[in-house]
Order: sequence, then C-alpha cells, then structure tokens
Amino acid sequence: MTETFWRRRLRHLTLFLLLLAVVALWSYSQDQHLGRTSFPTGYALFAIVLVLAGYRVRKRWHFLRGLGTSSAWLHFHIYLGMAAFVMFWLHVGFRWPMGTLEQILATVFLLITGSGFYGLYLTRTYPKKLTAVGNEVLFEQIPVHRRQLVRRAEALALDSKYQSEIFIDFIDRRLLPFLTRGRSLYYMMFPNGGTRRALLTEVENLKRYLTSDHQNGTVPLKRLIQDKDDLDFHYALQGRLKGWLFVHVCLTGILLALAGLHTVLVHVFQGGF
Amino acid sequence: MSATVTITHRPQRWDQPFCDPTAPMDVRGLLQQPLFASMKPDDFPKQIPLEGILRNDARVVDFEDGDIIIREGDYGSSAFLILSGSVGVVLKSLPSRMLGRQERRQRSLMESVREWWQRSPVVESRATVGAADQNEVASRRGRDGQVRVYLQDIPRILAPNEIESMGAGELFGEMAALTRSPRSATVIAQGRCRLLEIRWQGLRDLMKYSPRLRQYTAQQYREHSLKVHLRETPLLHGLDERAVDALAQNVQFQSFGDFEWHQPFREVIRQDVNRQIESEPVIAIEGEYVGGLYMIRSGFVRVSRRRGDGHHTLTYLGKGDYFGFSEVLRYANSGTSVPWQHSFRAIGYVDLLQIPTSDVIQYVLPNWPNPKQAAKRGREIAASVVETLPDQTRPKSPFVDPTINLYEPWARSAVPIHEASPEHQQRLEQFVQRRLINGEQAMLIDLDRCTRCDDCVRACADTHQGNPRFMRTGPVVGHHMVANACMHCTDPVCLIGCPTGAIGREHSTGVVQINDNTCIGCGTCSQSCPYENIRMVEIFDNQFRQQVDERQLPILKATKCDLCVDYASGPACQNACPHDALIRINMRETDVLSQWLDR
Repeated sequence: MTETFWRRRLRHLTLFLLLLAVVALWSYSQDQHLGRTSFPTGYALFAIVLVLAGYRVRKRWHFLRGLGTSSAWLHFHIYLGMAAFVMFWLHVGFRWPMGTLEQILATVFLLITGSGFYGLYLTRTYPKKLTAVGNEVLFEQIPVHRRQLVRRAEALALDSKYQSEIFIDFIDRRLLPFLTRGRSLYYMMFPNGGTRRALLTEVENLKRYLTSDHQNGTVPLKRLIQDKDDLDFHYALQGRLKGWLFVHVCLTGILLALAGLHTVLVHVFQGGF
Repeated sequence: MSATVTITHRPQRWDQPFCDPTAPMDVRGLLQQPLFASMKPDDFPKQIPLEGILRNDARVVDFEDGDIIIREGDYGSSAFLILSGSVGVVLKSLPSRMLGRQERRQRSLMESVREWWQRSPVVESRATVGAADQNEVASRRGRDGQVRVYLQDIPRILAPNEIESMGAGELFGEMAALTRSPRSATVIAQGRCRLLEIRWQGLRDLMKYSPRLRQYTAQQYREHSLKVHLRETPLLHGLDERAVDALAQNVQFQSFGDFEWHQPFREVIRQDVNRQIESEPVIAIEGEYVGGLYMIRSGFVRVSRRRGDGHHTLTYLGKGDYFGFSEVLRYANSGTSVPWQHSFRAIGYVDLLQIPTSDVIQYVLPNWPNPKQAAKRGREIAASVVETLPDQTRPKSPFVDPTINLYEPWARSAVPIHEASPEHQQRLEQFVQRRLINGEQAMLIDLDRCTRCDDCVRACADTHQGNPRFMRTGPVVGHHMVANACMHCTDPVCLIGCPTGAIGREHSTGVVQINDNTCIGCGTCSQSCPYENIRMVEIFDNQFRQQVDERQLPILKATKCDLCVDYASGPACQNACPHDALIRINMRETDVLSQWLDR
C-alpha cells in the first residue's frame, strides 16, 4: 500500500515537472525571440488562480459532488498551486514588480502560496500529534469540557475525604486559575508541556505535607491537570488547523479582487501592444 | 424568530394501519382461517388484541399468475399467509433482470441544484404533521399501489423440479421478517391467489402469544427455507436431492445468547475483555468433543484460543460462515476423534445449524474433494485454503493438535497468536468487544490523517436539512475512530420494537432507513441502537415554529445516516473528506478492512 502511494506520488510529480519544464522552455524561447510572455502567462496564472479558488466552491456546494471527490480536488489543488508559483515567476520575469498595485498583488500572492505550503505541512503533521495526545475532542466543545474540569476541581475541594488546608489551598491558588484561564500567546504559538510538568511537580512536592489519606487526592488532581493541558493542546493545534485555512481563504478573496483590477488596468494601459 | 407553536395530534401505534383504511379488513373471516382459529384471543393482552393485530398489522393482497411476491435477496419486514390459491417457491437463483429489479432512481445534477436553491433556512423543518399527510404517505407505502413484476413463460425459465408449491393456509417469508435477514428465495404466484401480508410487528406479537404459531414456524422453516439455505451454502454445493433432504431432516437448530443483546450492551462493553469473553455463551470449547459441523444462520461468533489464563481472539465469524469441518474431516480421514481446535462463543445472539458428524461423513464428505483438489474447486471453495498452524502456537491442552489443517475460509484471516502484532490484536479485540463488527457501512476515520476540519459533518448537514446525521465522535481504536454514524448493521437491532415499521431496510441496497412520514417519534429505535447512532430531533415548520402536540410537548423524529442513497456520488461524508481519512466500510470484509487500516 505504501509503495503504491509513493509510486503514485512519484508519477504525478514527474508529470508535473515535465509540464513545468515545457512551459519554462516555451517562455525562454519566447524571450530569446523577443516575444512578449507576460500576457499569456498572466492569463494562465489568472485561470489557475480561478481554478484553485474553485475548490472552495466545490466544497460549499454539495451538488457539485459529482465533479470528483474532495480528496481528488485537493490533490489537484496542491499541484496546481505549485504550478501557479512557477507561473508567477515566469509572469514577472523573475523580478520583483515595480508598480505599487503589482507589489501588493505579488505580496498577497506569495502570502497565499506560503500559507498553502504551511497548511500542507500542518495537515500532514498535526493530526498525528493530536492523535498521540488522545482525549479526542470537538473544537467547539472545548469550552464545555473546560467548565466540566472546573466543576470536577470544585467537587474535589469540597470532598470531605481530602479536607486538608494544603490541598484546598493548592486547588484554590494554583489549580483553579490554571483551569479557568486561557493559555498565553506563546503557548498558542508553541504548545508545550512546561506548565503541566511544573504543576505536576508541585503536586508531587505537596505529598510530603499530606497524610496518607489525603495523598490519595493527588491522583485526581494530577488527572485534572493532564486533562486540562490536553484540552489546551487540542485547542492550540485544532485552532491553528482552522486558522490557517481562514487566512488562506480570506487572502484568496483579496487576490482575486486585486488580480481582476490588475487585469483591467493592464488592458487599459497596454499602450498598443 | 416567532415564539408561537403549532398544536397537533401526537402520533400513536396503529395510527398508521398496514392496510388501506378506506377498505376495512374482514377480520371475522380471517379468524376462521385455521392458523388464527387455533389461537385463543384471551391469550392476547387487552392493549394488543388478536383482532387489533389483524386489523392494523395485516392487509389482504391479490396476485395474478406469475407475479413475483417476494424476491430473493430483498429485505422484507412482512410475512405472507396464503388465503386462497397457491404460490411457488423458486428453488434456484434467478438473474436480477428476471426479478425486475431496477436501479434506484438517483437525483440528477439539476435536481440537486434545485433542491439546494430551494432549501429551507430552518434546520429540521417539516410540513406540519397531520392526519391527511400521514394517510397520503401510508397509502404510498402500501404495496397495492406498486407496479408488480411478473415472470413470463414460467415453464421455459423454471423446470418443474425447480419450483415448490405452497397452498392455502401456509405461511412464508416469516424467517426473513423476524430475523431481519434477506429473503432466501423468490416466491411467485401460481394462478390467482389471495394472501394476507402481516408486517413483522404483528407477526412478532402473534408468535409471542401463540405457542402453536411458534412451532408451526419452526416446522415450516425445516420444510422450506432450510433446503434453500443448505443448497446455497458453498460447502454443500453439489449435493444431490437425497442428501439435501436427509440433511434438512437431521439438522439441529441451536441458538445462543440473548435475542435482545443490545439491552445490556452498554454495561457489557465496560467489562474487562477476559471477563466479557468468559461471560459469552460457549458454543464449543477447545479440547472438547466435536459434535458436528456448525453453520451460522445469523449473528456473530468469536473464535479464540486459550493463552495463559486468558483468551486470545483470533477472528470473528458471521452469517454464512461455518466451523468444525476440519475436525470432522480429520476424524473421517484418520478414524481418530479430534477435539475442537478453537473455542467458539456467541457474540450477542447467534442462530446456528448443526449437521451431526455422521451426516457430514455420509452426505457431505463424498462431495468434498481431497485437500490437493480443494484449491481447484472454484472461488468459493478456493477460499478454504489449507493452512497449517505453526508449531509454536501449540497450546497447553494435550488434546489439541495444532498442526491440523483448516479448511474453513475464516482460517485465512485468523492471524496465529504469535504472528499478531499488538496493534492488530488490540484492534481486533476492541472491534469484537464493542460489537463494531456488526457494521456493514461503518464510518472509520483515520485520526492520523483527519485534520478535524469537519468538512464531512458540513457535507452531511448540507445534504440533510441542515442537520448532520452523524457526530464526529465515537470509540477510538488505535489511531482510528469509529464515528457515531449509522453502520447499517448486519443485525440491525434498531428495527426491533418500532411500532409502525417506520424504520426498515431499503429493499435493493440493504440500507437501514427511516420513513420520516410514519415515524411517530417514540424513540424506540434510538434507545435500541447500541451504538447511539440514532438521534431524536425536534422538528419545525417552514415558519420557524416548533411543532408540538396538544399538551405542548415537542413532536420528535428519529434521524440517522441514510448513506446518501439518493445521490450517485455516494456518501457525502466520504466524498467530502479532503485527506482520504474517512471511509464507509463493511467490517465483515476483513481483508479490505485490514488493508485500509494498515495503509
């Protein structure tokens, strides 16, 4: 199965590179003969961008399901996205554009391309990280789960079995703030287990001040810390998986508008060519 | 949004009688039929009287010569009592085209576009529930209104010995209706005949309160369906009439487990695996005497071997599988009694047919080629490849011979104990323990690929009145989730107890569907589903007004995955997954399943 996957990937990549080589050779040949390539490559690039944006339409309108599976569209979208990147450089002649509008347009295009590659990396790596954490949870339900954790912590504090000043103090001073507050921007950027480890160590250190009966209460305490940290991890990673797509789609809208404007302007000011 | 509500009548059982309400049944005449005359009306409870069952759960249907009454392979939820005339049970499989099967009409692109354009902004909106609407739908469901397919030139298609007649007073179709299994044979009208069609809810109650009908059903099964079943078993292909007759007489029916296994299911799955295995009813235990060949008629069987103090699950068997053949064959070849090589336990409820060892030797083995020829005997028998268990799998019991050849097809997929990876074993144990093996269209999600984008959920909602028919939650086994979506089970226990028959198998596809128009929102199916895959929803009209009954209680409807059977592109969820992380799969197809899980 793996071999088939790689063989398929290799076949598609080879075909893609061959196609790009043909386009690049044509462009080079036109240049050598003092031909103008910016119009054909511009139209080709605009058409490619439209098809790339069409994937969103395919996803939104379910009656278009007959046009192929979403997975096939994504596959095509990735290769076409890479083709667009090459076509862009052919279009601008491997130079940074001079005009303000063109510079903005180029910046937006490169941002979209970058977000696309970043998304590719995220979608290929994050699912495994989320699975490894376990405690599968729906993104929209994370706040509900957080509230449940708080209730569990409060119930633990009120449990007569663990009525120890040290125990309750820890819950009040350290655990509840951890459970109720969101995580820092740094954590959202680089999720890590630092706080989790620190709190678990603190709980471990508390043990020597507790009676053997009260020490049993540290087990559900640790569980709460781990569960909250797992939730935060899911929130950070799932949030990013959703966030990049939002940015990618928003930028696409801007790009289409700017590209349309650019097309009109170059035709208005083409100066007899 | 308006806060007002629409008051309507709360639907009840028998609100939707099976017969046409405008043509009342001659119940007194029916009670003169020998079958019903033998029943005592006093045995029936007041709320479900015999007359009530006949009036509401049965209808009279007329057929002309050659009309196909039931078709082999169809899923049906009713049985037929012959009132007059005769019918013929076709003893061979007819080609689909002769049975008049038609492709299910699927929505065209234009229809899909129109539907999308005209979609209601209100989630779960329905036309107001009213008697007129229900009657209209009920009459549409009635088979009287359907175009019947008939066989032309029957003598050319069927030789006299390929058809078996049944006359007035006989009952057929009851096994398929009661066991929620496909029809085992095609039945056609021989001349004009009048039948009483009884839906399974009525048949269930009739059997419950009439011991004679219970006995009669068993006798009928032995005389009719059993022979068809035996002939269609690949292992018994090639047996002559005399052998089939003898086997039909000698076969023993055995049932293990609880018919309503789904009731305690939620507690059972929380048990430790070993404890659960030990609590399962034992069909045969390794090292003990082999009584014959067992064929599974319905349900699932766990195959395991002892390992230390526990049990190691090797595989699971389902309808059509058989076991015990290797041991009987070895006994026949060597003359030495060979004990069971594995343990077999009932998972939930299992119906078995047991052919005694002596009958296997006398009638079956003469038709069975020797092991060298076995591989040449067509696709069905080729599956029964000869496999030898490695020596290291030798268990503690001195009675077990681990080198015995296995001729059962399931032996191919049973990974020997020491070759099974921990991941494979955990998966297998979990699938069996949670009874996920019941799924014919289970939704598996590869969590290592799933980006949690919920495109699958959105696609489902777009296709189903703005409300998804599944939840992206469910048991996680390894890095795969079995999502809470209807699995269209082999043993669809959700069908048990539906008072109106609103939930049933779609005839041509086997998809379990809910008829929204006849669903009374009682929640029986939702409570019966052991996997929590059916949800009750409150419904609204197109003006955002919630529909409630006279007591201001909301009207509910059961909703579940319908596998998007109306769409040519297949299930929307699978189609919408950008990362090939989601699949609808038959858990019985272990080869395909393993290939997908291990990709």
